[in-house]
Amino acid sequence: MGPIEILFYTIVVIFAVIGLVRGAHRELGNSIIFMYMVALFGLASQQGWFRRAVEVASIFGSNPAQLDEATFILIVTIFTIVVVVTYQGVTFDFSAKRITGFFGVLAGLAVGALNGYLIAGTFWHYANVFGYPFNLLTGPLTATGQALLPFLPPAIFPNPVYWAVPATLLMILRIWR
Amino acid sequence: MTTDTQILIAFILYLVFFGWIGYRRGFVSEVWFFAITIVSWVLLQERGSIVVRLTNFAGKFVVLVRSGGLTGEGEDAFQALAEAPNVITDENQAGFLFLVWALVVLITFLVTSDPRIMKRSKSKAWGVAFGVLNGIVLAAILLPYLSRALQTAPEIQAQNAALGGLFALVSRLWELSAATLQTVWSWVVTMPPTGWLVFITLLLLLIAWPMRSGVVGKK
Repeated sequence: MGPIEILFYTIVVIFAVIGLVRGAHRELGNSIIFMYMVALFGLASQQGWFRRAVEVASIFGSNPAQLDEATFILIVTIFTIVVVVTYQGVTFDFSAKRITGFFGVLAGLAVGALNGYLIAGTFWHYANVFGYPFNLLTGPLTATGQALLPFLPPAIFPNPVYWAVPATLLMILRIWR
Repeated sequence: MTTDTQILIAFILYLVFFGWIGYRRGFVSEVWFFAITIVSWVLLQERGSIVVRLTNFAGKFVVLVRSGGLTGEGEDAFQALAEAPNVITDENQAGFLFLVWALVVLITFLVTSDPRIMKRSKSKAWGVAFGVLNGIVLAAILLPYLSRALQTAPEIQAQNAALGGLFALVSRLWELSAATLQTVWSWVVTMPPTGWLVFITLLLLLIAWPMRSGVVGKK
């Protein structure tokens, strides 16, 4: 197992523990936002917005490697800001009603792990798409890493916009009391 | 102490445990559990083929959808449908029906344990009685399956020492769990994207559903 997989699993585990502590009633609100973000990034990718940004930046004479780095930094910055904002201060909670007991523990762990997967998986996917800028990966990806790539959030569905389906259903459930 | 006495004491201990569960859960919950356990077992034994046919039909419908049967190209879809194998075959039918029954029993137990659904009855004695009855029913149904787990263990180990028997049982159950997990994982890895979408959506809705009535308050 290579370092990038270990980092991925570590982030998922950390977020699962965060989910356990905060509770699924809070974590689901973050999940809705993260799923929409993955869908939005997928849409931006499909519509060629990233490529267009690269073309615009080409005017200033940047080489392709620098443009990949810039695009990756842009995606990571946007997603990181979203993650920080959703966890800091007044948060977008799904419900005020905490699930207690064994099911509550399992739910917190599961939703927290899903959030970790959405965050770490999206970063990894775009790092892979842009050829691991800033030497994020030196050497080839391991067999485990290769096996995991098709299961990362932007790649698991034929179209990342599919993530909007569970996010929208959760949003409806949040509004409909 | 004779072996018969030991068996009797072990059985009484087992029934006391179920009686205590009946005392805690109450009469109404235990009656529902008893009725659904028995009825679902009998129905699945006698009319299990209906569930198998429905599952195979659902499997073929998935094949039809995946081969474009709902969006045109009817011939290809029907060809794929004709060639699609049954999800449940004669070999795995018994295991599938047992799994369905186990799921029904588990869901029934969870639902009847919820005080919002099942109101507590005052009759504790009837709760104990039906708890004991449920213990007997579950023993009658599950013991043949559990005894199979011990068949592969060394006979002396299983019979002579309680610790040895327990070790053999736990080892066998661990092996079975590991093999089942491997099978599930190999199936999960090859799951189509729509399967993942349905799985993730259902999981999130299952988690979110009990919280839907909680109004978000101000911080």
